[in-house]
Amino acid sequence: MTLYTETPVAGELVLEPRHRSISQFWRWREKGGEALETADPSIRFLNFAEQAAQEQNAVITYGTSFTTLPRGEKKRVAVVIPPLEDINMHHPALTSKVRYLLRNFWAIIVSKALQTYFPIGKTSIAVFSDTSEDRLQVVLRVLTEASASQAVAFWESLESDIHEWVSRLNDRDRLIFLRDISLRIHWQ
Amino acid sequence: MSQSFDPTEFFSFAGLIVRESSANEAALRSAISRAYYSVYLVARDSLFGTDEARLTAGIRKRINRNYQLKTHKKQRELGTHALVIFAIHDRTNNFTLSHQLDQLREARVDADYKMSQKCLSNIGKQSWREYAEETMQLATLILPRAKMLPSY
Repeated sequence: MTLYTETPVAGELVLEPRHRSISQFWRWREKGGEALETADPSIRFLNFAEQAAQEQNAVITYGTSFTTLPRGEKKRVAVVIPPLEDINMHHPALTSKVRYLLRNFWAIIVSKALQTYFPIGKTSIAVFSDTSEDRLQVVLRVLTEASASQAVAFWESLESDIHEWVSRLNDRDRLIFLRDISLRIHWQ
Repeated sequence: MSQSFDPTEFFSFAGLIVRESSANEAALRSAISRAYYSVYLVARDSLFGTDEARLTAGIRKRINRNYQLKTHKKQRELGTHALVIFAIHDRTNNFTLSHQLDQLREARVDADYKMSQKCLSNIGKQSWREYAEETMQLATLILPRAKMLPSY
């Protein structure tokens, strides 16, 4: 499943799940959402079951229920992608490199939200300054309608995606991300 | 000699405040601050021992070097709050816990230093009660993980 979308801020994005289990998960849904034990035996059960169960929990937790559909019929879900607000604000901490990293970081978060039906209401950039410590930090703020446990579950689900992305950054960019950029998730 | 103070008592105290329906803004701001300090102190002591007993100059130097936190000789070394947040990632390679503690830190800075209500609207909150409740929920979820942090 590859999603193509566009925002006024980031231009065209290609949101492509990396894990095979995601497409397996969709196959499972298209089969009508039967219990995992009765899923297609050609699917490698253990690996799939574990990851699909996580996805199932995520979907249920985020308030979107499974719908039984006739075989072969695909459900279309409208998902709103909020723009990344304040990315163009002027601040010394927002260098071109930081903006570049923020746009990619934002795309990872939005991609995961699309995959898991996590409701993102707003995404914005802010600069955080701890008055007791001489340091500025750029934060990517995500506001959601989800509950605390849903938001934290979503947050933790980002860990592997962030690791994968950071591992592909060069040393300088990795350091900038680790040191100068942080994620905030606020819920209801 | 008495036993060391358990910083999770700050967390319990913050919970008492937030559960009190008549808590005013001063009380709720204090609860946010105590909730952050509870998690921060638990994380710090897990990483470096009680009161940073095991935080040697060598470990501090290593963390500063890994994150190039001290880029100029004249620049003063960063405080222990940032150090603990970086140390979580340095020791565990875990972004989430590090960012979550950082979010609590921002809440504490807002609660202790920001007198206008702008910090509430920035994060979609209508009141300090909402902010305090979110902070307590986050602290509740990450406190057990802070306790489990491996030491240096």
